[in-house]
Amino acid sequence: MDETGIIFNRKVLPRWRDSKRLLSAEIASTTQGMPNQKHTDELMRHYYYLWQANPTIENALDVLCYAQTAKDNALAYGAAEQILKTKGVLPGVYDLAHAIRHRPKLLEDDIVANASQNIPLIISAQRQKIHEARQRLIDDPRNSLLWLELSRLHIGLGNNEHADAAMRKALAATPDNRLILRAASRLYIHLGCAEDAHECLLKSDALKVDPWLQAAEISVAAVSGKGSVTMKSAKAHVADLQSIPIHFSELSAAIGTEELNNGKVKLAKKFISKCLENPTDNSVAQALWARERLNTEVLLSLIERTPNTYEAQSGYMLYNGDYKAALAAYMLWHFDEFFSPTPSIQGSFIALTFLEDYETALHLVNLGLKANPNNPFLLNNGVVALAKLNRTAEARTKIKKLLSLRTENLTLEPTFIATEGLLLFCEGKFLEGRKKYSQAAQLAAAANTKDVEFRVKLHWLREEVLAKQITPEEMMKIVNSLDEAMTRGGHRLPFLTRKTWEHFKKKILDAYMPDTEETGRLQLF
Amino acid sequence: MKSTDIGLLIRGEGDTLVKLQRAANEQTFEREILDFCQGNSMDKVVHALDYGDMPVVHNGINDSVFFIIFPLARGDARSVINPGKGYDFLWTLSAMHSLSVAVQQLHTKSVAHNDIKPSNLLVFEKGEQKLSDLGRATSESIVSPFEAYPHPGDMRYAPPERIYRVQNSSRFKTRVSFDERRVSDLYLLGSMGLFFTTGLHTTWAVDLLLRSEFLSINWQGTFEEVLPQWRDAFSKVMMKTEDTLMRGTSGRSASVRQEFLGAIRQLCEPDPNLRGHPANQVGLYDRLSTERYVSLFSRLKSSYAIYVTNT
Repeated sequence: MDETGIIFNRKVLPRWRDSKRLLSAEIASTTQGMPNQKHTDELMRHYYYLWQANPTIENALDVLCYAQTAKDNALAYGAAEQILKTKGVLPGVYDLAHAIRHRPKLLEDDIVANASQNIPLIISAQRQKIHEARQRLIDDPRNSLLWLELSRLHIGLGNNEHADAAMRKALAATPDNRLILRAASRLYIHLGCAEDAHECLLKSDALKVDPWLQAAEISVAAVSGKGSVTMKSAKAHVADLQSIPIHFSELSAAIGTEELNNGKVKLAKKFISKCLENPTDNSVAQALWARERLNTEVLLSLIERTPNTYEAQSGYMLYNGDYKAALAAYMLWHFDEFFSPTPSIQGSFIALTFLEDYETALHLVNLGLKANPNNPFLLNNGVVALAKLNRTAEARTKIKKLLSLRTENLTLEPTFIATEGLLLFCEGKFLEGRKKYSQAAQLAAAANTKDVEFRVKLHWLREEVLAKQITPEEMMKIVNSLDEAMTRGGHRLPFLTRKTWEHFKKKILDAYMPDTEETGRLQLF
Repeated sequence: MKSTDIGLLIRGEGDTLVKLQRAANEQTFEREILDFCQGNSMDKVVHALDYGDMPVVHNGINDSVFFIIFPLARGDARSVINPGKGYDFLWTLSAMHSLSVAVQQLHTKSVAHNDIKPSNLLVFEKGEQKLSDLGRATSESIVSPFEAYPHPGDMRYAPPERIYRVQNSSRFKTRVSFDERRVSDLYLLGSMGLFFTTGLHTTWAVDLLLRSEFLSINWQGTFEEVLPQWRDAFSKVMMKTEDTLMRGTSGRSASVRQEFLGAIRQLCEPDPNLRGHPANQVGLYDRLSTERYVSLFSRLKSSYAIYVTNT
């Protein structure tokens, strides 16, 4: 990953989201019998007629009892209304009537409401939830889902040790639960402990038979650099299946991904196509990620009808140049997996580069920093956003932190130095800024990172143009040289770098208005 | 009085012989179990005053009716606690004490009630509460017509392990042991406590908070797979009940309510392997005994009565 947030080697790591947004298939593997829906509907109708003949509260409650599970509970609205209008009705009864009469809000509505809140409010709401969960756990220490949720809330605030402790409690309460094992492996990957993630999956007896755990094991093994213990048998099993049920979708995607990484494109294409027969949001995102290398397409209709496809939506919109829609999807993705830095990095990059919406970019950066306070890409994008908002003093503080991280990862050096250059340009220190950009470009060239070198140069050009520090001739010379580089090796550059260049170039040339009389320099943007 | 009209039974749909045999078995079983309870002096279980059969003339046709006569009650629990009335906590404690005594009496003599619900708790003139309707009971010593049923009682009130097993895996396991039935009775007992304070029994209340995919009618997986979801929803139910029950209370009233809620949590524990009093889970104690609850509710009832008198 780089500051654009593009994942170069995506794996089918398990999602870890709010239990309200879980797919029911993800926690049940068996398919036994069909529910007796007809029986419930008949009983509701029976009690409805009784209530009509004698509309007492008790009879109304009988109607509501069956309305909960009936396919269409519109018949129960009258009974629910009667209970809602009764004064002093017991709280449980009121809740039941309310739930039947008023449909719950869409989850997306909740997310959008949260998205507009400011960071301190979101943090304080999360802290309150942590407090409530801890209170409930005093009376209910065996509630593994609550331990799991507590772990998720802690990781959302960057409390890694607390998250780890809560996850261990969840694992102890239900050691073979698929949901918890998958979430645990996701947590350990997030914490950078891929071996622990692999270990906790290997401990489970269910790994031998559970396709959801096998999918996680194959992906986690690849991240940890170890061989997968289930790959061989899982591959044979999936290859034998005539059609892929949803339970095998992520497994098929994980196998396809590893085949792709091993250079077996034909096999990879077969498994990735199979995973889309009954997909989860994760397998749709994986297929979208692999589409360029496999030369395949993922249809928008598939993305739209699969639940929770925020990541796939953002990728699809980005690929098709609908940056506003992509940004909205990144926001939803962030609230879906609020501990993950990726949606914040990618979203802020899109807001900074294509939409020049620096406030939203900063908001996304700050959302991401809650759980990942030392993430260099988030800090980097934060410095850019602050500098562009002319909040250079704050940007300076942030860049100090960013530069203090340079010892940990030298490959990021050119990016950091270029960002320092951008900040200097925004502070009006053009000469120093230019030096930094030049240094960054040289470092990137020395490291033979063509992509980084290209991006350093195009951002440098943009800053020169914005600061009106370049003549049209100089500008055209650089544009031509970058164009030439793109023609020569553009196909090897990441998609987002190509898009960025297209966007910048168009912007520069469209806005070209020479004002030679006064300054002999350009007036752009 | 509980009666079965043979003439009406014959005129109904289905195989007459099968219907007659079933009705006779059920009636015989209920009489036997009532005699058994009476013989064992179960004073918190409603006994039969008389039973038998008598000829009746119905539309000019000679007919016959089986009957069991019970003492006349003022009403059942729903006449005291009903959704529109709110709750009476002292009455609740007294009812829970009576019920736990009744369950203890039945279980000691190897009888499981299987159908403890508000309509089966009768209230008599002097306010005495007794458990009635042993028609769905099962026993170690008397063969019950409902022996093969995973849950012979009203399924709306059934514990989760029974609902999900009936829906999804009953074909693999039909024989339910006596201890498993006792575990169900504990749940039904706890569920009555919740009904007395919220107007909803546990299974309804949990269903209200479960996502529709996890409701027993829609669930395609096993009970073990849905258990964490059920536990989480139950925990929310108890949190909500606690909010309501503890609001504006302090001192003795608050401590009594806390202990009451603790008992409901233990009795309605979603995992049948952990259900019951925690002190009974270790050592040589009978894990499913309600003896501790008999003492607990008796103590809470007295303590709360003193509090009510003083305030």
